[in-house]
Order: sequence, then C-alpha cells, then structure tokens
Amino acid sequence: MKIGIPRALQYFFYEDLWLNFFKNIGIETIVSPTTNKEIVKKGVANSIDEACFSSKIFIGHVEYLLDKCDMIFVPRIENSAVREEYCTRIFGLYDLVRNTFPDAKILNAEVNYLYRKRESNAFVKIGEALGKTKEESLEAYQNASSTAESIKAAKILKQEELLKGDGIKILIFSHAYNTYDACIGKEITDYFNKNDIKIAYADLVDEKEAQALTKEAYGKRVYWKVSAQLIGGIEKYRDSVDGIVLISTFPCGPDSIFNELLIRMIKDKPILSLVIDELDASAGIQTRLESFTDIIMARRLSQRTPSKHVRNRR
Amino acid sequence: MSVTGKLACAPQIGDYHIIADMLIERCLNYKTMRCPPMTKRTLEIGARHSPDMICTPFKTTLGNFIEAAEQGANVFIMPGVGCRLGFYDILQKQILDDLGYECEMIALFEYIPTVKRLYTSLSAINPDLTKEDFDTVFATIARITLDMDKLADFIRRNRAFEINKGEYEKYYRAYLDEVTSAENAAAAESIGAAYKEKIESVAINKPNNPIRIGMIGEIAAVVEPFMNCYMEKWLSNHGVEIIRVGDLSTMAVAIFTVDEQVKNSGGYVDYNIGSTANDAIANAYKMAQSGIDGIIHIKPSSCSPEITAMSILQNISRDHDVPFMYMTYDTETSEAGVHTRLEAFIDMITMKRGLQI
Repeated sequence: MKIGIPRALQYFFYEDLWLNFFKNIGIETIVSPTTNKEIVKKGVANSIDEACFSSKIFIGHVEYLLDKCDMIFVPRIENSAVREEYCTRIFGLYDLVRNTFPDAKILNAEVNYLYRKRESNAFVKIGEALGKTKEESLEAYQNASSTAESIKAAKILKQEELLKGDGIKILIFSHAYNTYDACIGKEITDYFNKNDIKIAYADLVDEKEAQALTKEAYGKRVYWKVSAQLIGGIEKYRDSVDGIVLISTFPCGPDSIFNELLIRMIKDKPILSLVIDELDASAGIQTRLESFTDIIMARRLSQRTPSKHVRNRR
Repeated sequence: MSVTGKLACAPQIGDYHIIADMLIERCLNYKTMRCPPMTKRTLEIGARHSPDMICTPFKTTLGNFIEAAEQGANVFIMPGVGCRLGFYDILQKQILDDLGYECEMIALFEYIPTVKRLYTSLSAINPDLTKEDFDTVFATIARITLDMDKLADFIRRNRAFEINKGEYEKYYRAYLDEVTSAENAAAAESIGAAYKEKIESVAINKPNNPIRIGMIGEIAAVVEPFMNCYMEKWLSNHGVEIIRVGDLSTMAVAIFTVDEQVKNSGGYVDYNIGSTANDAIANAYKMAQSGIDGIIHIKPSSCSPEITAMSILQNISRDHDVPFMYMTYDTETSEAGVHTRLEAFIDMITMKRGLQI
C-alpha cells in the first residue's frame, strides 16, 4: 500500500503532521515532486479556466500521482476550530478532485469542528481505512502532532531571532502553498537570498496570538483561518522589517480583500504586491523585485530623515 | 422622526433594496435613498477604485455607494456575512474613506446570519429599539420577501406567454409600491394575496410543452437584471419558461440547510463546497432529472465557490445529457455578446428537441 500526497495547497500547512503520521503507522508515502512546468501544464489542462492558479497546480500534482500510488490523500478540511474556515477552494478540494478524476482512488477523512469532526477522529478513520487499530492511529497522530508543533515553534523562535539581528529584512505575506511552491514563491525568495536580504514569513506566528492581533487591527473577526494568521503575522512583525512583499496567485479570493486593505492601511513601509498566474513572466517579476530592493536600500540610507509616505503600489 | 443628517443607502440587488430600506427606516429611524440605477458608469467607477482580483459584486456595489455618496448618502448597508461578501464592508469603508467621503458602514450580521445577530447589530446602533418592535419589522420584511419571491417566480414561468405584454410587470411594480407602506406582516400578507389574485388571473396563452430553461448560480448575478444583462427579459421575449432558483428567501433557507442540499445532490458532492454553490448543484441535479431543456449557470467573475461548482456541473451535464451555458459576469460583459450566446443556446435546444421527436 502506497499513499500519494500532492505537494500543493493543504500539504504546506500539514507537511510535518501528515508525513510523520504515515511514518508512525508504517505506511509508505510518495509525495509528488516540487512543482514543475509539466505539472503546471497538466493542472491547467484539467481545470476550469477561472480557477485559481494554486488549485490548478494541485490538480496537476494529483494527475502526476494517479498511476504512481494506490490511493491519493485528499482530506476534506473545513476548519481547525469553530468560527473559522479555510477558503472554499481548499475545503471543496475533495469534491473537486473526485469530479475531475472520477476513477481516482481517494483516501479521505473529514475535519470539521462545527460538526465535532476533530482532526484526531479523522486520523483514526484514515488509520481504519489502512487496517490500523484506533490505538495505533491515535498514538501515531499524537506523536506526529507534537512533532509538527515543536517544528513550528522552533521555526517561530528562529524567525524572532533573525528579526532581532541586523541587516535588511523583508516580510513575506503569502499563503504557505504559494510561498514555498517552486513555481510561485521560490523565484522570489531565491532573489532575496541571493541579495543578502533576510526573509521573515508572516505565517510563522502563534495562531492564537495572530487571531487576537487580527481582531484588534480590524475590529472584526477574520473567519478565514489563513488570512487571520497572516494578518496577525504582519501586525506582529511589521515594525521590525524594512518592507513587505505580498505574493498571491490569480485570482485569490481572500487575498483580493486583504492585500488591498494592507496596501491602504500600512503607510509607513514599502509594499510590493506580486500576482502570479500560469503565464510565466520571470523577467517582469525580476524587474519589480529589483526596484523594490532599490527602494528599501534607499530608505535605509536616508533613515535619519525617514520619509513617511514611500509606498510602492503596483 | 428620522435621525437628522443620516441618509442610508443599500446597494442595488434586484428589488431587494425595499427590504433593506424598511429595515433601516423602521429600526434605526434613518432616512433612506435608492442608489442611482446601475449604469456603465457605475461599473466604471466601481472597478476603478476596487482591487483587480475581487469578485464583480464588490465593484458594482462600490459603484452604487460612490454614486449615492455623490448625491448625499452617508450610511451604507452591507450584510457582513457570506464568503468574501463578509469583508466587503471593511474594505469598502476604507476605500470610501480614502476617497474622502465621510460615511458610516453598517454590517447587518457577523459570521452567521441569524435573526438574533441582526437584532444585536441594529440595537447597538439604536439603543431605543425594543425586541418587540424589531420582531414586528422583521416579520413584515420576511413576509414581503417570501411574497415577492413567489410572485416573481410565478411571473417568470409565465411572462413569455402573456397576451397583453407588460401586464405582469405592471402588477408586480404596483405590488412593490404598495407593500412598502405595510405596517405589519398581516397587512403585507393581505396586499400580497390581493396581487397574487390579480397576477394569477392575467390572460396567458401557454403551449403544452414550452422550452424550459433553469437559471442557477450566485445570488447577486442571478437576481440583479443589470448583472445578467436582462437575461430573463430576453428569454421571456423568446418564448421560454424560466425556472430560477436562488432568490433571497430560498437562499436564506439554503444557508441553514447545506447538509440537505449535499444529500440531494445525487452523490455529485459529499460535502459542503462553500457558500451557495451547494444549492446550485442540488438544484441543477433536480432540474436535470426533471427533464429540463437547458440550464444557465450565472456567476460573477472570480466567484470561487461557483468555480468549484462548475467542475461538478460539467459532470451533471454529461451524465444527464442536459445542455449547460456558463455565463461569467464581469465589468466588461456586453449585452449584445450575452444575447448572441443565448440565441445560439436556444437554437441548439430547439434543434435537440427536433431530433428527439
């Protein structure tokens, strides 16, 4: 039995949890490779034109896995607490994959705290489908979950250290599945790494802390889980960075609201907003990254007389 | 006894502004105005000040608000729940502020659209609003919503066949004018009943088996004629019986009966796929089984739940041999283009019928 895991969307939220869980119950997994041109092409071909680029990539990864494993892992995750949810593209994924590839064998379990379907129950169900007892699955889940949590806590600590240090620093505001995707965010983070600019990520923040910061900033609960976390990250880290980079894929629902709000509300930091779609345009992105870097460098040089209203809008 | 200086405006979505106006006038004592009717200019200003990627209703409603603000409106009304709709209020408020309009934004709900929540929001603005008064107002607008949706549904099914063209429209407009003065639910009900009688007795000449087209999709695009390029009018003029789902009263129920819709979707979906897309799928499945001639799926550009639904509707279309037309509305949609597509769609259905006989 070999389980295929598409390296896209939810994977980037749950990478450590999922991989450790399957390792703990002794099931072999295959994760699709980092996104490449071929996968993008397959995804675009099998999706509705208007679907967001990230979900097209997901479909491409599923198609890649179709003949390479026994079952594809596409859990249906609506939320991880009540009064919050993922974007509809994410919690509609299971039904989308099922309707796009009717013959695919899908390993699925539902997580929906509104209906008391907890994450732990979902993993017990997954274990059942793979012939494991409840105790085995629960233990594997708990171990995986604490491993994933400590990995994240370590990452947050490391980021806080980095932000205390010197040097030019920027903050990336982008869904994890875009930031770390080889065809979306990698080119951008590579550019900053090459130029010795330190990168902080808005999603590396404690979830509870982020929710509280977000509610404070908007006077309203943001019910999109990922956006709430990212905005909390911005609120927490914005004073310690030189500039903010927003990365979205076209057309992103949550980002269409919050990117605009951030650009309108944050007046004291340069903001670069990059929207990526399947029409590959590296040269354009490079040019914009260069001019953004020039702006934050220039601001550093003139820091004794900071100009308050430097903004960079697309 | 209206609060001085406050002029409230609800965006244009079909005829539902009358409901919003009643709610605001009676619960908050604000004066209300109707936003200037939507035109190409509304879309242009709305789009100019909106983010690119946002769904079209954001742009149209922002255009409505700016045009209303030009005429003096200073209080704007948004539901504050839904998908992205739940955040329209904060972003639109920010944009209007940046444009220099001093205004107030009222979000009627937060996260879950319950009646209790509506009372909480309104009484926070008007502390004198008693629960009894609110209940009376709410019962009245609930009655009116149900009645107007029922009347409109009946008309939609029969308008193509009326003998004296324009009679339905005349009665329906008269109903809307008259019902806004109803003091309570009972009064609204009797006005509704009187007009129901008038509307049902309009002379029609309906063939036995007219072409029947279903309309499903996202509520704003389905309900607002400007956004679907007066599709209903065009279809009626071409002798089509229209079965439309997705008016306010059915949507209000639909939000709380997602599990029911998922169950009734013929196994095409196993879970809630977001917003009103479940309703679209359940109804498409039902229509497909009832042997409808064709289904038109309408959504504003970049509406993510409906995009997910489209992948599934394609399977329903193939499995049940039902033609679908997918229409995406954005600020560049031209009426002539849509009408050409409708014409081709109806031609195709007529030919398909010919083959079946």
